[in-house]
Amino acid sequence: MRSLSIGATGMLAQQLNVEVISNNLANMSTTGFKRQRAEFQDLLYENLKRMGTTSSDAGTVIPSGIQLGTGVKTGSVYRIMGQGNMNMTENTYDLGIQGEGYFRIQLPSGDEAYTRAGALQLNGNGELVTQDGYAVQPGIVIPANAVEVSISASGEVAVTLTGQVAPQVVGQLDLATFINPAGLEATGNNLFLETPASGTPTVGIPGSAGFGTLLQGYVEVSNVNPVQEITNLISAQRAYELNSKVITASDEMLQTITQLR
Amino acid sequence: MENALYVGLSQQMVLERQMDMVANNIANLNTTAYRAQRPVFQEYVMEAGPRKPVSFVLDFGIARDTRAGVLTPTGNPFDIALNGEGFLSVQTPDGVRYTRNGHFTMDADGRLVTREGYALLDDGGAEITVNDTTLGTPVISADGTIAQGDTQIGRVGMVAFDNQQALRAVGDSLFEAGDGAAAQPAPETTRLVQGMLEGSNVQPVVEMTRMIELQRRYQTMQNLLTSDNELQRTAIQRLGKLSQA
Repeated sequence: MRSLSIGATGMLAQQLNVEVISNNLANMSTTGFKRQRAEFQDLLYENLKRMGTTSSDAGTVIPSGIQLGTGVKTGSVYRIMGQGNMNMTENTYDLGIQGEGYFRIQLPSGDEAYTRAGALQLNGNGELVTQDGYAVQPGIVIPANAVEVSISASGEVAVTLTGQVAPQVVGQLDLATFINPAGLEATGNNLFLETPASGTPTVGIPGSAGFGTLLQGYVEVSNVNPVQEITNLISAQRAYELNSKVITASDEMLQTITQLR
Repeated sequence: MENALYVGLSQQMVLERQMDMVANNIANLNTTAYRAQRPVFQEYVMEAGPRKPVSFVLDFGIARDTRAGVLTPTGNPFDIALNGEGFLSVQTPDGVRYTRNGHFTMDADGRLVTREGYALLDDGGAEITVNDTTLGTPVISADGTIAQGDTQIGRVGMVAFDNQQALRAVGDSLFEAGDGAAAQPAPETTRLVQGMLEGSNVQPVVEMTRMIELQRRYQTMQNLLTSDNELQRTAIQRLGKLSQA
């Protein structure tokens, strides 16, 4: 019975669907997390009676033929890069990106990674780094005697030093954009890497055409919509159940055969 | 005398095939732009003797449910759904194939491609390359025009067929145009929606009831075959006794 194995492909696909949904839900509160979506495709078809073959000498043609599908497969699991909400933290080095763009992060390997998780901190040398201690590019050093640090919407970092009234600019943050951000490869720790599918990064000043602006004292939360995820979860669960019913029904049909004697 | 057996067998084979189709429909419950399939049956009449026709059942073909699936928002700028009749064309190594699955990504050359790397074709049958400079994310409007900022890049090709049933599914959400199925420009009423994908048009409740029905019919036929078998056995036993006596 083909239906047994077809049902199995359906169950496997729905299992993966639930896995993707559960990962989204698990990262519901992860800073800068972008939700994922599983996309499915039908498997190959078996042609039992080819359409277009002639059915008589007079040249009459079979209009539709018989094609049996052999199940389902996962087409792709892709990331949806929509904007997440801004969460106020009032932390000086928390930066939310409103609009397009990623912070450029220098990995220990020397490669560049990209992130929207703007929960930044200072390290022992006063450098602006991520939670993992990776430096933000271009490197920005906050002097030790800085009293107040302000980061403008366009990424200008200004500090007020002790005993001084006028703030002075110590650096300029920039952002990288990609034509197809959904093609970025996630490596965990809120970091993404460039791939052939994402295209090469375009670096620019926040607020200029095509680039988002920065919001100091805020972090971008994940773009997971719990209601949507739960709805998807219910639908995946029901689909799983339905596929298991197919297997049960096929099994009972097989059982009927064995009772024949 | 064995006719009952063979007629029953013909029905069981057809039911099994129908079950395979139901299983495939259910397996593709969440498949992007999947179209449910139904078998079409016909009667096959055999003259077993004078005025004693015996009819068997044969599966004759498939009919594809052509209703559109529900559009779901994905938020991905390279996801496009068709609202209305029509298909998108993609270039595969075996020739042009048609699909309603509008999930595309950009490849290393800046082309819009399917998951398999098949390029999406424009209204002239050429590949669509997205300009990967600083112009920003492409905007695809309802008539298929792709623009990046003020620059117009091209127009997504949309085609329709007189007889959709003549399309042959080849898997991966793709269809092949069979004989007598010539692609024509899609009607004006067909619109593209960016950031959405079309779901499968499988109706779970319908498939479920069909499955129960199939299973019961299979069992009924099995009972019939069992009683026919019983009949033959009894006949042989009784006739055997008679000859011994």
